Amino acid sequence: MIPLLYRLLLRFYPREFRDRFGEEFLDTARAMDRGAARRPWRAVRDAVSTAMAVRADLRQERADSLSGRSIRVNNLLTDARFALRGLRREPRFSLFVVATLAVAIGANATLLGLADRLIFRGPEAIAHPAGVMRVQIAAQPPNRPPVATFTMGHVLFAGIRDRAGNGVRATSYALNQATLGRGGSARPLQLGYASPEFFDLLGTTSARGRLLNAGDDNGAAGGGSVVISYPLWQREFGGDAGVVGQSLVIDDVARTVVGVTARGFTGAELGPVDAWLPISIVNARTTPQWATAWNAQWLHTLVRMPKGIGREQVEADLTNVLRSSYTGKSQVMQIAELRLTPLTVSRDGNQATDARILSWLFAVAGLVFVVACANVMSLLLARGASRRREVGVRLALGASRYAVVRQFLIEAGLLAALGTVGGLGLAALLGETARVMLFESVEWTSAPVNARIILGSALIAVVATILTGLVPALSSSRVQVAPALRGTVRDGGMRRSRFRGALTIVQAAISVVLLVGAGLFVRSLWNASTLDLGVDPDQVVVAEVSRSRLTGPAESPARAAEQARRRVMLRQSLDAVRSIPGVDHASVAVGMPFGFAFNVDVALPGSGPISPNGTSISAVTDAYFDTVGTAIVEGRAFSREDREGSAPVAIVSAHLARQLWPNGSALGNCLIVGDAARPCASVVGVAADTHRERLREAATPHVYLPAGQESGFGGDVLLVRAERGLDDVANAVRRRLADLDSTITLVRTETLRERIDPQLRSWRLGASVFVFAGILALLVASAGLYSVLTYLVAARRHEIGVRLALGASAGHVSGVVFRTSLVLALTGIAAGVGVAAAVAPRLEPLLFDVAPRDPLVFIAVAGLLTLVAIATSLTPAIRASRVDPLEILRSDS
Amino acid sequence: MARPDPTDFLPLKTDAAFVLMALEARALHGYAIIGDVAERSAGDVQLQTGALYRTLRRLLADGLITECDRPSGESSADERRRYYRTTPLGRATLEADLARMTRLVKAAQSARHRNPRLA
Repeated sequence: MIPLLYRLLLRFYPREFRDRFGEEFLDTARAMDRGAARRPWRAVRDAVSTAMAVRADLRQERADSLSGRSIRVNNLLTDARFALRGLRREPRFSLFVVATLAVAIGANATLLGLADRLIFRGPEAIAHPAGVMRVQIAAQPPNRPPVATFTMGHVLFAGIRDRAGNGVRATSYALNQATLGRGGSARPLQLGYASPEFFDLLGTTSARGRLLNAGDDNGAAGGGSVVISYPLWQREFGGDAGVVGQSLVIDDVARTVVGVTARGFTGAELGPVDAWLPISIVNARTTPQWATAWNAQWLHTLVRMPKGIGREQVEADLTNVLRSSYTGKSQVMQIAELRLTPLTVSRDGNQATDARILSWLFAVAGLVFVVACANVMSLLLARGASRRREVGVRLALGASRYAVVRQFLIEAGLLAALGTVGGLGLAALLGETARVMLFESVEWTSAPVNARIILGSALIAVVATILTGLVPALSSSRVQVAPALRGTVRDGGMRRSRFRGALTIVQAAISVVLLVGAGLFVRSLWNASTLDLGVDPDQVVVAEVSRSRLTGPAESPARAAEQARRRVMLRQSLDAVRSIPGVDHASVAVGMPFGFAFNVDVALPGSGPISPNGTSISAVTDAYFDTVGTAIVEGRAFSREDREGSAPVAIVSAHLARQLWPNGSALGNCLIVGDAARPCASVVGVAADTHRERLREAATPHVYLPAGQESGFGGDVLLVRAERGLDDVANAVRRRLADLDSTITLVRTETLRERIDPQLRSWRLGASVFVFAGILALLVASAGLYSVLTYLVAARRHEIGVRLALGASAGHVSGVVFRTSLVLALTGIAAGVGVAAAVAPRLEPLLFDVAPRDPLVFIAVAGLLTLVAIATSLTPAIRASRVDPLEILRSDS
Repeated sequence: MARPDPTDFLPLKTDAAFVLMALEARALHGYAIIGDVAERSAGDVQLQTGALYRTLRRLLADGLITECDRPSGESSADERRRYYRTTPLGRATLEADLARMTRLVKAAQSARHRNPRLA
């Protein structure tokens, strides 16, 4: 065994050692093996370390014998110092390379930071998060699209909790919006409801006090305990150590703080949760039959997997629980299965979208990285060529080829290290911006740059060093000493410049791909944000109010009167709102675009409902159409006279008008809205079609009733139109409403545009990332092309001088440079267009009304790159034409 | 080239000093050197194969030891074995190093008398 190891490791010793000592070396190793019990690892260590030591000895002896003074360029530190001196001597080159690498590494480090949180680690402050799984109900009904949901009723959760078997534990939770505080200081609160096992199952600890347990699970009242989040503790109590026992008003009920969750804890999802209440509160509020009902779904269920039990096994067990206990009537549920998904994919699939966005971002950052590395490699090649003489001197003085390669690699490593430092700085900035801009719903608890990111970036830097340094290092060390010393190597090696040309083509191609992506996303964003929605959302403020709870016995007349007052309060406040300076129009709506939606049965007299699922409807006061900017295309809008008790009227959408009365005017016709016994409403107007929920949706039929004539649905929203000063108007509206009604605890205001904006996010994200990356790649690639051309002109100065001397015109010489530039650029553009055309269709689901092979985008990008190539080659071309033939010929003699 | 001075090679590495001592009295082959050094150092210095040949190569290159014929009386068990012994330069170097260490030990001991804290 040991002699065999030595025989293998002998190969690592220098040849001259092997030739002299090899045989007896093995002989002694064999003798040692017989002599005493020895451990193989010791032998390996001995053989390896002495192999290196012998090499070092030999080098040292060679260096010592070369001259009295030992030439020691072997030392890494010396090499690094030498490299640093070299880089300082060429600050422009160094700065450009470091900046290029910094951008590429910074982009990758930023994405690593985002992915680290969203994909790799999941929610924080959870013990062994990989062992926690989300339960999903999934079904594949025959001939219908698959159905999947993460919400379920208590009956299914209880079944899982009690009968999962195999030591699988389960817990449930729900999230909800709530109001913190009362009156003018009331503010929104993100509330979580946790079942008693929740905190224990997640294995999280409290920062102060205790977490919720079975003792708090006390019916609808919930025992009065609340656990608050670390950020809320800091925000509301200034991190007061005596927070436990203090009181907090949540949804108008005073609750006692019993503890604070661990820092960073957000439950099983990534969004912030400000406070946790017992789940019994939500259960009791759902339905009186909450414990047994199959037709209500409000809980999310998590399970903790025991070690050694496979996911499939647990899924099968849980599915059995569902099958054996289900007593409802839904055919989908009867064939449904229970599946487990990791915490890093959130229940609403949003995070899956985020993950998909991230993977695109990674692809983009990877391309930027490749462009940067290609460019740096090209620059290092050029630099290596210009240092041929220096390398020749070093080789002549006895430096080994290995030492030369190492010197070049160290230079590349130094550049990459500096680039990494810059990149991490950039990542700190970019990471913060990206978090705010792109993933605002995530509660970020760690800095964008942490130890893991630094480690990851260091790995990227190593890759960059090897990618950019190896080829130039090898090619530079392959110098013929004599011509290099004489300085007569002229044409720089066609192979080297051809390789640099190829690198330029790659850069141009990647720039095309990124710019095509940018073009497609910019067009998508443009199309989506200028889409005619039927409403004009930019200048509309939407205000919704929360009120304190009704008091008094359930059926008392006082309570009923208060309820009635509240129902019409917003409508009666309209005059007061309209008198606020800056307000142009104001109205109240029940049901609105990108807000609450209601459906009722709508019928023509004498026939059944026009649609079995009901027709979309809203009830609006006068001035509604002016407020949201929906055009009345025929007839009139509602006036103040259209109200409760007046003659029933209706306005229909253009789509509905065409559908019901394709051959004539809709005006004057009669519609039965809601209850079939109600009197017929006369159509007085036709409104333009509006999008109700999504940017991408087909026109749907819609009916408007005057506010006061609706029945069966409710929930007033105040809409205000102001041409400028939306923030001031929103503040004034909040104050005015709070003054008018003391039962209002919170007025939420936002613009209609803000409600639509999240739907634009993916296009905005794509457009900004691709534009940024595309411009970056274009800059780097054109710098690369420029340096290749400059190098080319310098390397062929001699040839150009001779040509000029022999009578070639300056124009002809410039033409050669232009032609080279255009060949490189056009080849790159063609390759890039080909790749983009092949890849773009995969972007299609992310685009908006743009063909993935949109000719406009492709032509514009190709044209832009051609122009950039021409502009880039101007200076080198002019420089070529100014070569002085006399000077060249004189230096030749 | 000038005649080498024994002090050029000082201080000797422990391995080298033991090998020179082992080869001072008689010629030995590789495995026997390892045994002799172990015995001489009472087991403190256990040379491994690689370490031994690194040391031998250096000592040969510096001319402190030389390869020699198989001593008479050694069994000819293995024809491939090579034997080494210390050269006069090696012996002078070893003595110079031992003298250096003796001076060092003496200096340390007298320092200890003056300054008991070193004890």
